[in-house]
Formats: sequence, structure tokens, C-alpha cells
Amino acid sequence: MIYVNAQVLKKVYSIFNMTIKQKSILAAIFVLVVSILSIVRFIVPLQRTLMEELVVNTTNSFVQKQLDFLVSMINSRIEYVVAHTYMLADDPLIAKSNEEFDKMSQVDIQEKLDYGDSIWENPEESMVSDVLNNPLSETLKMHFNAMGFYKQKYGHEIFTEVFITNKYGATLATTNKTSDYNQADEEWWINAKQKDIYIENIVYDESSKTYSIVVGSSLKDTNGNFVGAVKAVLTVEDIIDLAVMYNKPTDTYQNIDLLLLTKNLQIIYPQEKSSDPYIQYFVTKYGSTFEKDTILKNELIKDTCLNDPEKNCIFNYATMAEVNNLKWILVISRYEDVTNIAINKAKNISFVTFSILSLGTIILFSFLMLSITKQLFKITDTINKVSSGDFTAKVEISTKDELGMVATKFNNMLDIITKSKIFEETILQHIEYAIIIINMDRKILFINNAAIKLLQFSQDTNEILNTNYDDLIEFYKESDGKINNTFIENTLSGKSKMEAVNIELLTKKNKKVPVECTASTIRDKQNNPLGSVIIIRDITEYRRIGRAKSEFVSIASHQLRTPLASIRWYAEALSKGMGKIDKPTKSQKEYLQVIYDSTLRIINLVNSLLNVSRLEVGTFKISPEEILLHKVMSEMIQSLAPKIKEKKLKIITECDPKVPPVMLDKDIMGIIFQNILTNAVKYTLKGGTITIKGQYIVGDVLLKKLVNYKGNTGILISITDTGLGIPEGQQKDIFTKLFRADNIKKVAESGTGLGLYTTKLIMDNIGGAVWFDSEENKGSTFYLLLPETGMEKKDSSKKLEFSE
Amino acid sequence: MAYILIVEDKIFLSNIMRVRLEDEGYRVKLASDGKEALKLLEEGIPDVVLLDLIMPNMNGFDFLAQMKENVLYKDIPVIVTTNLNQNEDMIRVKAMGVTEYIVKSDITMDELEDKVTKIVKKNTNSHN
Repeated sequence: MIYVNAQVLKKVYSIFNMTIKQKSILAAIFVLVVSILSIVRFIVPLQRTLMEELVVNTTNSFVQKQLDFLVSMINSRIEYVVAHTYMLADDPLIAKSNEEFDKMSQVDIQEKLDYGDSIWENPEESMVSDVLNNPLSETLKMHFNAMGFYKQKYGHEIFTEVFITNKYGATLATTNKTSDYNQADEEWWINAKQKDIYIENIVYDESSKTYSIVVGSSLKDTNGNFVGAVKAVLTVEDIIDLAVMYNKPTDTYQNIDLLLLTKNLQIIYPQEKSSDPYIQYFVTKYGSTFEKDTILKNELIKDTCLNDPEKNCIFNYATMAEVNNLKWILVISRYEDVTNIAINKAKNISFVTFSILSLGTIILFSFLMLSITKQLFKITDTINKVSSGDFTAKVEISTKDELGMVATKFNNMLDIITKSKIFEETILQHIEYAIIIINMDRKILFINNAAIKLLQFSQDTNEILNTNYDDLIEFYKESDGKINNTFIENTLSGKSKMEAVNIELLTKKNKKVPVECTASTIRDKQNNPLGSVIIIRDITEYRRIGRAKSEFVSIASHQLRTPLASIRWYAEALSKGMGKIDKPTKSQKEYLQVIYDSTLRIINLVNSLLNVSRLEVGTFKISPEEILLHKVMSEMIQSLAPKIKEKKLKIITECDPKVPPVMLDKDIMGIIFQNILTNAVKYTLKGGTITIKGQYIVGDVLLKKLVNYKGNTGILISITDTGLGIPEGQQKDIFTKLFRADNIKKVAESGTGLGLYTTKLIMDNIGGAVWFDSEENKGSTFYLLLPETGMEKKDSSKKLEFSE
Repeated sequence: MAYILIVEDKIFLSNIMRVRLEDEGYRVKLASDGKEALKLLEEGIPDVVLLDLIMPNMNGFDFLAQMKENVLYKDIPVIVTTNLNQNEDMIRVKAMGVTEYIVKSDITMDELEDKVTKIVKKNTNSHN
């Protein structure tokens, strides 16, 4: 699990490593997914609910309208009947008939009524024809048949049957032949008498094939007394037809099923009755619901469609409030698909809208991101240019947004850098030494004019830049031919500063120029190496001056030697009384000795100066041969024996038998040993000890003191005395030319101040090292370190002088 | 009695050398340049020639060259006594058959006499 979590974490962190482009794409996808999910989760169901409610409401209001229409139409027709019969209440025929009946007994009335019924089928009877043709009947026909207007208009009468009874139920006048004379026992008549108005349910009359409604109304005189009743049978088919026609299925309600039922569940519409599946359906399933007087507005009944069992239908129904004593129910069923289609339509619209919006957003976003990344690329391009050295590069963003600000600041910074860089470059360009800067890949990053001049390049500077320095710089050692650039390589791999002297640089015109070369490591603030600065000094002139100096010193010393030799020899001759000269007195001899010693010192000084001059120019002969160092040392001790004896010094020599014979110039080693040993003898007090050790060292850190030496073996010679030592404050100057420490000046007046300087020059020249430890009044130890490879052979006309 | 020829243009140097060598019992003749020395050679063959290198008229190098060409003189031992200490000079004259190369200021008179005597003795012994 930990592994899995780590993996997940890794992936999460990897987001932070993405480019802005990737991040923004991810963000856009995230927004899209969230939007789609929220649409699916919230908006679509909400839309569905809203749509269903809308459909239900619309359907309900439609249903209600249908009912209202029907009711108002029927009401107006009933009103017509009531209004017209109201006028007839004062008809004299009614009053005359009532007066006639009033005079009769109850039994007589019944008899008359029964008699009327019995002869009613026979129009020949005067009583019957009297009713059918009396003026009231004519008035009725005029009012309700409207001289055939309705028949002409609808193809049938609107008021199919209208007749009037007296207050005892006897038919007085009629538009058509009625079924009975006596209406008093009829339901409509009883109701009309009691309730003033009676309206029966609509019925479908099979014979006339029309929908009819029976309306009964009581007739009252001006005093409000019941005087009779009117019955009218109204056709409502045209009204229903009209309702159906006006509310034809539309695009939305293409699956409307209109069904009209009475509250007694008598079908009103459509005509097929008993076999009608609607009736059966409602009666069996929802019959009880219709007893309610409420309009079931938001109640949905979902079930299989009656006319298409494979589909679901939603039923809406509304009951009509009581109109007189009439209650109707209107049912509409529609396919569920209608809702779904509408919802799908809405869904599609919202998806299309959303998609367009999302797409638009993404495109806009992409354009924005594109422009941002484009700007960013401009900045990185410039940075790349700058890092490859083109400081004239500028970020060209003219917008005034944040990126524009970044660009402006960047350009300002670049200006400052360029100015300081130009300043630095100008300084580097105008330094007279050849300066070449390389990176860790050995590629040239910078080369100044002096370098180009020295190397005699004819190429453009830009062609030299970024090429490998090895291809351009070739060094030669005066005697050994081409040398590799190890000393420069060393600065790239750890050593901070390397020097190469007495070398020649091969120019592009195949000329060899004597040079000195220094390579120094360039480091950043964390001390990591970045490359190397190579400084090459043309020492042609220096050499010339050096040679001239050397020549001068050489000639001067020759010239000095002749008088010095005569002084020396004449002093010698005088003090010894040569030839015819008298022997000097004791005091004369002492004086002559001073002259002699001083002359010797001048001679030594002349010789030492000659050595120094040769060493400084680096032109002296080295003839290495295989020698045993302890032998050279012994010879040197031997030559100093008189002085050692005089001072009663103890000499201890310890030589490691592992020290092998080394290729060295015997004379030069003699000069070195002589310089160190002479000092040790000179500055060690009587009875002191001088210890000389020779060691063979392998892989020691001390070997790092040997510049340019790659081997790991060397020979270390140490000469320890118990002498005056070197004052601490003067130790740093001990190897400088003509320097003599204060404490030894008091003890020994003689000394050129050139011995240790010469030694150091020689050791540096032959690739060795010399250093010391010292404590004043306790003694000094001088160390001489030589590579096991010894000295390199060098030809020269000059040889180092061996002074006494 | 051995005969030493000193070829030296500086009289004060040749004189003191003569004093020292005559004290030792040698017969000494002086020549101030190479030409003079060649004339003296005709008068007699010296046992040792002490030769300076830098001289007017005929310098030491030229004298040596002419001396070595002559069968009679070519075996005469020569000690170069000079103030030149250039390696090339030493190599040059040694190649010409010089016995010793001495820088005058670096040597005492006694040492010089010692070197002369050693050569004289050596030659005497070899003749015997």
C-alpha cells in the first residue's frame, strides 16, 4: 500500500513538473468533466422535472380550457332555453289550461292525464293535434327551430325536442311529437318543479346519433307561483366537435386522447361506449377518483397506453365543477414520449449550447495560452541567445500585461549586464597578455585581441569561439618538441593554478614564440569549476633583455676576474714572500690575508651573480647521469671537512637503502648540496650536530609539491642543523635574492645572500622542490624533494659556476 | 730544468706567474700574444704552455690551432689559464687537445704551480 501511495504521490508531484501548456489543458479538461458531471447529475434531472411540470401544467390548463369551453357553450344554450321559456310563462294558453285543471278533482286530473297518455300516439285525436298545432307550439317551433336555421347550419336541429307542460304535468305545446302526454311522473319534471331547473347528463342518442342533454325548467308567473315546466333536449355534439376541433393535436400534443365522461362514468366522447377501453380502464382502475370534485392538476398517472400497449402514457384528467347539476370529467392521455421528446430536445439544446460554450472557452483559453507560451518562448529564446553569448538579444514583447512587464524588466537587466560585460570585455580585450577563457568542455568562450595577435590568427573571432582550445594552442618545449597541455587540463580537474615556463607557442604561421603560460580555474560561488582562464605572456622581449643582461653579467664578470686574479695572486705572493720579495712581518701578513679573503669573496660573488643571471633566464646546461645522491653528499661533506673539524661538528648521515640511482646533473646537485650544507656548517655553533637523511617516498602528499610531476615516487633529502635558525618574521623572505637574516649577519659577515635563492631557482628549474622548518636558536631543517625521474637533459653553452 | 712558456697579454699576471714558477726552479719565458709565442716555440720546445685565450694580435684559440698543426709542437701540454668560464669555450679548447682548463681567479698560485709540476713530472716519467 505504501508503494502504491508513493506511486500516486509521485504522479501527483509530476503535475508540478508539467509545462504551463499541459497544465492548462489539464485544467480545461477538469472544468469540462466537472461541467458534464454536474449537468448529468443536477441540470438534466432538474430540466426533466421542470419540463414535466410544464407539460402537466400546460396539459391541465388545456384540459381546464376544454371544460370551460364546453361548460360555457352548454350554459349559453341552457340559458337560451331558460330565457325563452321565461317569456312563455305568461302565455294565456298555460293560464287557461291551469284554470281548467284547477277546477278538476285530483282523480279527474289523473284520469285526464292517463287518457292523454293513452291517445298520445294517435295524432288524429283532437286533443293531440290541438297540442301540436296550437299557437304556443308554433311559438316554440319559431323560437327553437328558428325556421330551420340550425338544421341548415348543422344538418340537424340544436334543440331536438322542446315542450311545455302545465303545472300538473300535462303537455301543452311541443316542437316535436313527445313520447308521453303526462310528464308529471318523469324525473326531469319532478326535479324541475322542485329545483326550478334540472339538467340531465349528456347522453348519446342512438337514433339521432347525436349527443344530447336534457334541460328541465320550471315556469313561474309574475307572483312566483309554479305554472308549468319546459323540457328541452339540446344537442351538444357540435359543441364537442368544436372543442375537439379547436384543440386538435398540435406539435406538442400530437398524442392527445380526448375522453369525456360524466360523473356517472357515462361516456360522452368518443362515441363507442361499452367496448371503449377508456371507460373500462377508468372504471376498473380509477373509478373512485372521479368522485372527487377536485381538479387533479399535478397528479400524473403513468401506465401503458391504451391504444398502443408498447408505449407508456401519462393521463391527466380534470373534473368539471358542477354546472347546474351536471358534473363532467375530461381525461387526456398523452404519450410519455412527448415529455421525453421535449426533455430530449431541451437536453440536446443544452448540450449543444454547452458544447459550443465549452469549445469556445477552450479555443479562447488555448489562444490565450498559446499567446502566453509564445511570449514565454520569446523570453526563453532570448535567454538561450544570451547564454550562447549574444548579449544584443532583446525580448520583443510589446503587450502591457505581466509578461510585457517581465520582458521590460528582463531587457533592462540585460542592458545592465551587457554594459558591465562590455566593460569587462573591454578590460580583457585591452590587457596586453593573451587571454583565452575555456569551459569544462574545452571550448573557447573568450579570446582577446592580444591572443589573436600572438597566435597570428587571420580568422574572425567568431570562428574561433566554441572551438576546442587544443586545436588552436600548441606548446613546444625548447628541446623536447611538442608537449601536451596537461597543465591546462589539470586546472579543469582540480588544480587551481598551473604554470608552464620556458615553452614556445606555435603560431598559425608556424612561428615559435617563447612564452610563459598560466592557467587558472574559474569557479562559481559554490566552488564548482566552470572552466579555465589561460594567460599567455609573450616573453620574446623579456628573453632578449634577459640574454642581454646575462651577456652583460658574463662579460662584466670576465673583466672583473682579471684584476681580481692579479690582486689575489699578488696578495698571495706578498704574504708568502715569493721571488725576491721579502717575507712580510706578522702584521703585514694579517693585512695581506684580509686583502686575500676579500678578493675571494668578490670572486665568489661574481660567480654567484653569473649563476643567478643564468638561472633567471633559464639558460644553463643540464647533463643528467645516473648518480647516487649519498655519494655526492659525502664528497660535499668531505670538501667541508676542515671547517667541520674546526667547529667540532657532529655529522650524522642516514640514507634509506631503497633510494635508487637517479638521473641528475652531478655538478648542479653539488651546487645545491653545497649551498645548504655550507649554511648548516656556517650557522651551527661549535659542537653542534648536522643530520642528513635520504628517504625514498612513495605516494606521499609531499609529492604534490612537485609541479607537473605525475609519478608517485620521489627522493626526499633533509638536512637538519642545531644552528641559529631563522627568525619567524623573516622565514618568508629566506628564498629571496640577496636576503640575509638579521641573526646570521651578526655571526658571519660573509655570505652573498644568493645561496638559497640560487637553490630555489635551480629546484624550480629542474622540477624539484625545496622548503624548510626552522625555529630561531634551535635550528633549521631544509628539505630537498626530487622526482624519481630526476632531471631532464638540457643543452646550453652556459654552465652553472661552482663557487668555493 | 723544465721550460715553461707563459702566453699572457697582461704583464702583471705573467710576471707574478713567472716569479712563482721560477721560485720552484722552472725556466720561464713570456709571450704577450700568440704570434710572439709561435716565435718563441721556434727557439725551443717548452715542457708546458700556460695559455691565455683573449689576447691582441693572435688570440689563444688561433695560437692553439696553429700549434696543433705543427708536428713538432702538437704534443706540447697546454694549460689554458683564462677568465672565460663559458662552457662552450672550455669544450672548444678541450677538443683542440688542451690538458687543463683553469679560470685564473678561481685558483691560487700554489694550485697553479701544483698542476704544472704534476704535468711536468708525468711527462718526465713517461719519457723515461
